[in-house]
Amino acid sequence: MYEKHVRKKTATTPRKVVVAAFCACFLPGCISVYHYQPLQGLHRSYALSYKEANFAGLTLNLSCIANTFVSESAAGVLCDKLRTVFEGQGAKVLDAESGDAAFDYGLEFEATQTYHHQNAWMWPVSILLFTLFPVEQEYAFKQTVTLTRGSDGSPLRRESFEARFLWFWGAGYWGLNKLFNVTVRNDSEKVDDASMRRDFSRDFYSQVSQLVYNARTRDAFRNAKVEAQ
Amino acid sequence: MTVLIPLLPFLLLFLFGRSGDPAPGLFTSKSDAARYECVRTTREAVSREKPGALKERAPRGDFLEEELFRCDAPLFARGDRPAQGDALLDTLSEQINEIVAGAEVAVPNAPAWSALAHHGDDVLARKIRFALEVALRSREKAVESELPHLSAADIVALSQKPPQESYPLLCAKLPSRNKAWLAAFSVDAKETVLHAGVCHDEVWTWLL
Repeated sequence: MYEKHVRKKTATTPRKVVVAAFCACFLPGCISVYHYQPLQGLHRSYALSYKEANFAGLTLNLSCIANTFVSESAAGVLCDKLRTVFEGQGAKVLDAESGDAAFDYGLEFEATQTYHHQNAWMWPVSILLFTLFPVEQEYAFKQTVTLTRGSDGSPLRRESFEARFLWFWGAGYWGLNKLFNVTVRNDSEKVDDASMRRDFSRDFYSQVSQLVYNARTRDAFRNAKVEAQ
Repeated sequence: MTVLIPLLPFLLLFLFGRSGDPAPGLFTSKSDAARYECVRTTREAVSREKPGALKERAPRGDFLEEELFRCDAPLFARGDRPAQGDALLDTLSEQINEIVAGAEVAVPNAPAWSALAHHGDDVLARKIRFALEVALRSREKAVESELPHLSAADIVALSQKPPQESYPLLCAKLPSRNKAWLAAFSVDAKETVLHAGVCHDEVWTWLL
């Protein structure tokens, strides 16, 4: 009786675990890998760190535009993150309660999707092959940043930054990537969701900060020239 | 596990199909991918720019979908040189063209031109000066590769003043009756844009 009970447990527990793990892995995000590739503008070098106090005494007005690609809430999230980035560098960022307060520069952000690709046939094929064959999605978007002077609203600079993201889902690809992360890649080369977000944030926030910094130094130099004359 | 082994070729087939992608991936490291500056392109554009670079498509279409990128590998990848110089050189052509176009408007009839550049990095300063000369020559200006002859006392006096004061003073010392002196320089270690001015007939005009 005792032997029979033990045999039954050993026979069913691994199967349950496998089934549970298999089901869990069908949840998107569990076995997915993101790759980020900087395209237009984002691979340029920058001379400052957005973690330093570059904008002490500067007042900015941020505006993130919602459209068919960016929902109202996503635009709000972007502006909140940018506010944190600029406030971290010493700038004062106006908010809804600031009313018509004066500001030095206005920054307007508008994103558009430039590419989207997904093969619907990959899902059933992947599931039939126990997700060894991955599902792949790709999209690219362009973030256009317009910098204006606060005093008169005149446009100073308009830059576009384009990024490409590849998303893979499946135990085969995820497992290989995990294996590479553990065995071959060093910390800066690791590919996972956190590093994708970190790399994109570093590139995007640095470029936007550099844009504002350049405008500020040009204006400061221009004012000093006027005083010197 | 033995059930899964015959399925591995499907994964390998997929990975083989992705091997030419310029994005960071399983077989392309982030640092290797960062060496390339890529833009999405079309088969028509490639045929125009580089005929014969692509295989002809099968008459009934290909089984695999095609995605084309044009990737340029700069001589120096990001991080190979100091960041500010690198950033400045990234946009140097556009900046120099903007400066020279502004100088042409400010001094339309100068019979000859000379270029000056100042940057904390001497090598970069020479590159900026060379770029100015090339841009002037490409606009069919008579360019003289002459440097100003200043006394040691003048150099010390000018170097102790901020650029917004020193360049107008320098202009008074330059032989600018029959020549325009175009100067481009950087004033801040964190900025990646140049400032510029032009000296002609002993009058200094700020351009940027």
